[in-house]
Amino acid sequence: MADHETPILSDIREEAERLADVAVSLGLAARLIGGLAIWLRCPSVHDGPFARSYQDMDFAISSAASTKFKALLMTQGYLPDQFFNGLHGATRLYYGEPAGRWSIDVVIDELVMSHKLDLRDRLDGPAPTITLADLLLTKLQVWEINRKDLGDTVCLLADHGLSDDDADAEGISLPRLRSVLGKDWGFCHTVDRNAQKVAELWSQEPVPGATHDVAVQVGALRQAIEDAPKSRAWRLRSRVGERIRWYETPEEVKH
Amino acid sequence: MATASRLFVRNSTGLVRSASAVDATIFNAVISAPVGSTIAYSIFFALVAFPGADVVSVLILVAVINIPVLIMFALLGASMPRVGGDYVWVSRVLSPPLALISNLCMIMGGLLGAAFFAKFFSVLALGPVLVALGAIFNNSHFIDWGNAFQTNNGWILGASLFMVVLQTLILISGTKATFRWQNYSFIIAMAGTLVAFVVLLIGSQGDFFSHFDALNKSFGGGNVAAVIKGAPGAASAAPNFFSSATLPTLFSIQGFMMWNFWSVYMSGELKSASNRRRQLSVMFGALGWDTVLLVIGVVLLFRVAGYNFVYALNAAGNNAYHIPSGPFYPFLASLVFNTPILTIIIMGSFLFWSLPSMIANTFMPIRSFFAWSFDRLMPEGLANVNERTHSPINAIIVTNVIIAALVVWSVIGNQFQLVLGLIVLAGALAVIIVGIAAVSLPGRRPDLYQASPANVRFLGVPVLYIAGTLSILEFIGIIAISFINPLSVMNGNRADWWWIPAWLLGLIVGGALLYYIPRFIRAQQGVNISFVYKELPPE
Repeated sequence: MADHETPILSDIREEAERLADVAVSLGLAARLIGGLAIWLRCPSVHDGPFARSYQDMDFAISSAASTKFKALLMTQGYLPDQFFNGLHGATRLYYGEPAGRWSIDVVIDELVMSHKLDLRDRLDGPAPTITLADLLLTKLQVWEINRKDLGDTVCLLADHGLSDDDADAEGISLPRLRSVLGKDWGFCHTVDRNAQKVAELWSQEPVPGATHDVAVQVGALRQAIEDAPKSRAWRLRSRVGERIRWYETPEEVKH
Repeated sequence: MATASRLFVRNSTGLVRSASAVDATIFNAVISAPVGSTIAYSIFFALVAFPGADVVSVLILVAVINIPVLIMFALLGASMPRVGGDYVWVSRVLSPPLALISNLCMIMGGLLGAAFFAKFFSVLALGPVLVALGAIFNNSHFIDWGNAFQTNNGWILGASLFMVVLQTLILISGTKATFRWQNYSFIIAMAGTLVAFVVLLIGSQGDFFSHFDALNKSFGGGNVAAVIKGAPGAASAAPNFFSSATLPTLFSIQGFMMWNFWSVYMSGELKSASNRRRQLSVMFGALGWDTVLLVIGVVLLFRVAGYNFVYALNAAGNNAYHIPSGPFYPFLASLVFNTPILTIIIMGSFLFWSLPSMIANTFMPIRSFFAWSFDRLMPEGLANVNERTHSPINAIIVTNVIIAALVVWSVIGNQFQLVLGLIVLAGALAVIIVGIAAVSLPGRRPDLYQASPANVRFLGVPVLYIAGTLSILEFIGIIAISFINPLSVMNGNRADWWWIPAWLLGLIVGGALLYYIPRFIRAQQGVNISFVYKELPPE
């Protein structure tokens, strides 16, 4: 149901889908990421052990689409955090739902959290979300990973198989995973560590009626990563290992 | 569940801020006492201005007295890591008008500092380097151009304003790009300074004197002994820490060394700015870097050139010194081996000291204008950001127009030393106000203090009490020293003593007006701006 003065829907999940569809229909390089993207693409998260509530929605946009996307959010009734956007607007934007029910975080060109995921040229697919491989990477890159991230990842791997075809919209692209993780040892190391946690969680709380065995998927994923060609920088950094910190620690911002 | 025990709580999408600890440390190091430019002139100026100055001991003393100041700023910065720094702390702990006064002082320090380093580029870097290269390579064009950059107001203005335009473009290009320029310029400049240190470390006094004698004679000057003889008092000059020279030397050196807290003004963009250890490390990292390298640099020059000769070189009107170039540090280091490659590396890299210092000085006023604008003290348009680079373009342009005006004033008015003195006094007043806010924080805003990283004690006493009180006393002392020594602020004329209270009063009145005038205007518009000061601003 829409509010009186804005087209904003009352349910954040429906609203996320609506906004993402509007962005796609306008031809904007803007796609949903984060928990609500998982919710859109993975039925397993709708109920079962990893069903959850959502407090915010996240979008990834290209810098070229920034002006139009900001205008879109404004016309939809969202309120910008002018101070935050003024200070960090080159890489991040923040908007609030007018009644304060949720917020929208926007990353521009790349997700920079524990690791850096370049999303440029990856934001024009047919789906309202970023690709499944990128979704998996956004979850597994989190060094301080929490149960929500792990649960989302379990559901993603339970509902979608790994695929050798980057153009397969319903498969998790192994070429994309190899390409990203073969260049960056730190990213690769965090993903590998978190993948084990995902398998561990799956063994304790499997998703009923899952299409795929997550433990098998994690095994295949780790093997694919191990077999991926590695850049010289990856190999050099791997020699240093954990002696030097390999991840960033994102901070929570008070808006 | 094994996994659950190692899980984390996160309530929102995290943010990795754009500035690293390295960015912040360099930021402090290039604004406070940029090694190359400080050692080139500022330290040796003290030898003659204050005969008997023990530069090495005073450098170490200055580093020690800055410790409580940095602790105070680090604790406040970690507790309230906001754009605006002291403006936010003082307004929330003491009162908005006081915050505007302290912030105006810091802004004036930044604006004057940026103008100083813009002029420095022409008069103390490009000009001397060209003259020195011309002297060493026997090129009269270089000497002529170099002299023009040091003495011709048109040339000086041209080069100085070029630097202002250059930094304007860099600042507009965005925060990340700005820090890249800052860091690369610093690395190039620092590399050249370190080469100079190595040259002085492995070179011999004999070679240095022989190269100096040959060059000075080629311009009709005397040898080393003649130069020492040509400066009254040089032959018997010796450092004495317990002489009357120590206090004015301390003022002079503190003028450069006191700014290692400047990174609080980039707290909004600094990674882990609310981490006390991070704040302390970037400030003390810069203080340590500058102090250690300045001491090493001074000791190395004295090792090769000797205290008496350096004293004699810096004495004005030495009839035995005929080299067209002034005796600045890179030039002297180049003479140790007198080879073209080393000379070009040492001299060329010296040109890169101005830009990062200008950027660091200018960054702060821009962020303060930005914060003022959001608190409705300034027109909202001042906080507008460029759509492409997301830099606060209006604030950047306004700031650089002011800097350009200050450059023009300092060139036409020839008020170089006065500018430096005014910067120190403005900073001193600001630190005193911040010190009062620090001491007041636990009592006046226990809600902010109790859960903050500033809530640490030493022997049962809140560290803010200790650091704040010491900072206040130190900077009252700094202001007192300026009254005693005409060379510090008064352009050498004791009759100009009234400049000091006039300047401080001007800052107090100006700061207060910056609050009360907008408050009046906003009240006419139905807006009570005093409400914004009841809460911390957003991050």
